Amino acid sequence: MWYRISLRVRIYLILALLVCITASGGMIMVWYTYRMEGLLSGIVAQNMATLQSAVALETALANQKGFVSYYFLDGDPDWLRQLGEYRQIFKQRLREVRSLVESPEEERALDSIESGYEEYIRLKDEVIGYYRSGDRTTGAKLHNKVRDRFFILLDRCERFKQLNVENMRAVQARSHEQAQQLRVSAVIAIVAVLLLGVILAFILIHHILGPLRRLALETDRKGVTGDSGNEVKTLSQRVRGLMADMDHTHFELARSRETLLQAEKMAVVGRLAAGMAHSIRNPLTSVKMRLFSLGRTLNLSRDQQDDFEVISEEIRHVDTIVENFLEFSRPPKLTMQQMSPSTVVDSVHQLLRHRLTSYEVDLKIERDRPLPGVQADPEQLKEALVNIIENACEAMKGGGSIVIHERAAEGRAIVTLTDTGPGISESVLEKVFDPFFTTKEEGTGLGLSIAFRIVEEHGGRLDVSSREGQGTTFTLTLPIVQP
Amino acid sequence: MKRQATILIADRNPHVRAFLAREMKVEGFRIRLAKNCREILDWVYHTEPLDLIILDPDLPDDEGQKILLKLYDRIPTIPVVVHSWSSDYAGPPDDSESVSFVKKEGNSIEALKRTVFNIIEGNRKTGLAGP
Repeated sequence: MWYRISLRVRIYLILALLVCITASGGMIMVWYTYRMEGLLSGIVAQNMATLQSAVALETALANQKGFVSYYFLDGDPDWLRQLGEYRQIFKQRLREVRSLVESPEEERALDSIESGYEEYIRLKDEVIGYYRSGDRTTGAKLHNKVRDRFFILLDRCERFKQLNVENMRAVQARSHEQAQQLRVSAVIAIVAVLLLGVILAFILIHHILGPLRRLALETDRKGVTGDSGNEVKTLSQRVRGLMADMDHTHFELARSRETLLQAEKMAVVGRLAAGMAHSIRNPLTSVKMRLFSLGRTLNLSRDQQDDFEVISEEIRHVDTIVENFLEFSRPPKLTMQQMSPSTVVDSVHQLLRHRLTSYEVDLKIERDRPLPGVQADPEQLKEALVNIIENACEAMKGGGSIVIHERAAEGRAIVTLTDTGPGISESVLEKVFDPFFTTKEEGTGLGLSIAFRIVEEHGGRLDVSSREGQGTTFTLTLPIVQP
Repeated sequence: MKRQATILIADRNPHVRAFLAREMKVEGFRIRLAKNCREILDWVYHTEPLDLIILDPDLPDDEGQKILLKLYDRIPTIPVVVHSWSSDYAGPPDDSESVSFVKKEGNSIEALKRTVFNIIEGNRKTGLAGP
């Protein structure tokens, strides 16, 4: 059931419960303080007033004692006047008390006091009447009885006072009981809030922060962003990184799709062109044969001879283009063997020694130790290097130097060829490996394309970097055979 | 009595065939021509013996130079001079010694003549034929 509810609803539910408990707890506390305040002020105001009145009533009753005795002794009527005053005070107090009492028990107690007092007054007046008439003996006898009544009445007043004290204690007990209940409720609320807090923390950690953290770690494939301690910030950083990666991948995909399409087109065009070159070569050779035959017997003027030579030269050029193209269009048959590229570099140096001299190019090989073995076809690799070096020589009109640097790094043999030629402009640089692209008057535009393809067939890479006026560097990278 | 050596010239291009025929006739050879594999085999199975074949294996009805194998099967001893572009020639079948190679170029007629002469001369010494 719990797991069927969505994470968002679970969190809202717990938060709502937490807020409810905390808010209702707070409201109960506020209500309780008001209630306690009201209760206490009620008790103090009501019961204290009643208690004070009860004490005053008792005092007013006690004050009536002795006047009749004094009158009996000296017959001064002023004692009776004072008694009358105190009786009025008692009645006044009685009215006050009656106006304050609420409970029937207190009413009954007051009724009992009032009726007892009426009886006491009546008997007392009778005693006074006897004393006034001079019947002092009867008066004294009745006076003794009346004294008992007085003490009974005083006791009733005392009981009424005690009743008030008990009432106050009962209210105190009631408020104590309510406080106790409130304390229990508060403890339950605290426990519930703690429990809900723990559940909320558990959900936050296990269902939100933990997955966020894992997601952040999983998305950080490059391990570059590090742990900032803020999962959301880290994740947002990584998501942004992923989005950038995605954009990049999308771009790369579009580009590779374009390249693939281009390659397919090129393959079709290449097959057509290869067929055409093959067909051209046959009549072309026939033309060359006839030209040769003509050349053996013709007796030409100087201009005719010049025309004839140009025709022969141009036909030779067409033939070279066709031959190179056919070689390019035919996938090379690699005869692989394990060998060091340094051996090929040395044999190319040896092979091109005379040609380098004629181009006035100085070739220098920088090598700490021979490169480790790679899987290669030495003849093909030699052709690639020869094409690159010849290209450099032709670019450096009037001589220059080429430095071949060899090094091994990260499981790869790297050979860089740097010339001191005029360099290649940026627009030309991206086309140097394109077939038939040439900046030379008589170039076929296939030398570097063939070199590029040979290196690719070896599972390696051929890169070029150049700046106009600062020479050109070709970098040939081949995977080293792991021992 | 010496007899005139017969050479079969096989090439898909009629002008190349005609040129080679003209040049070889001048040297005193008897020339037969073939423009495809079928015609080569016709000549090979013909009653007239052939002394040498000048062959460009790039023929319209041949695939993968099977004609060389067929010739080798039929008459292993007949000398064949392959006159072709080096990139089109895969080599003689089973390292046969009776197959020579001359690279097809504008001036290859000179080299071709030398090769043909050498072979015919060699065969003449063994009493086979000559121009």
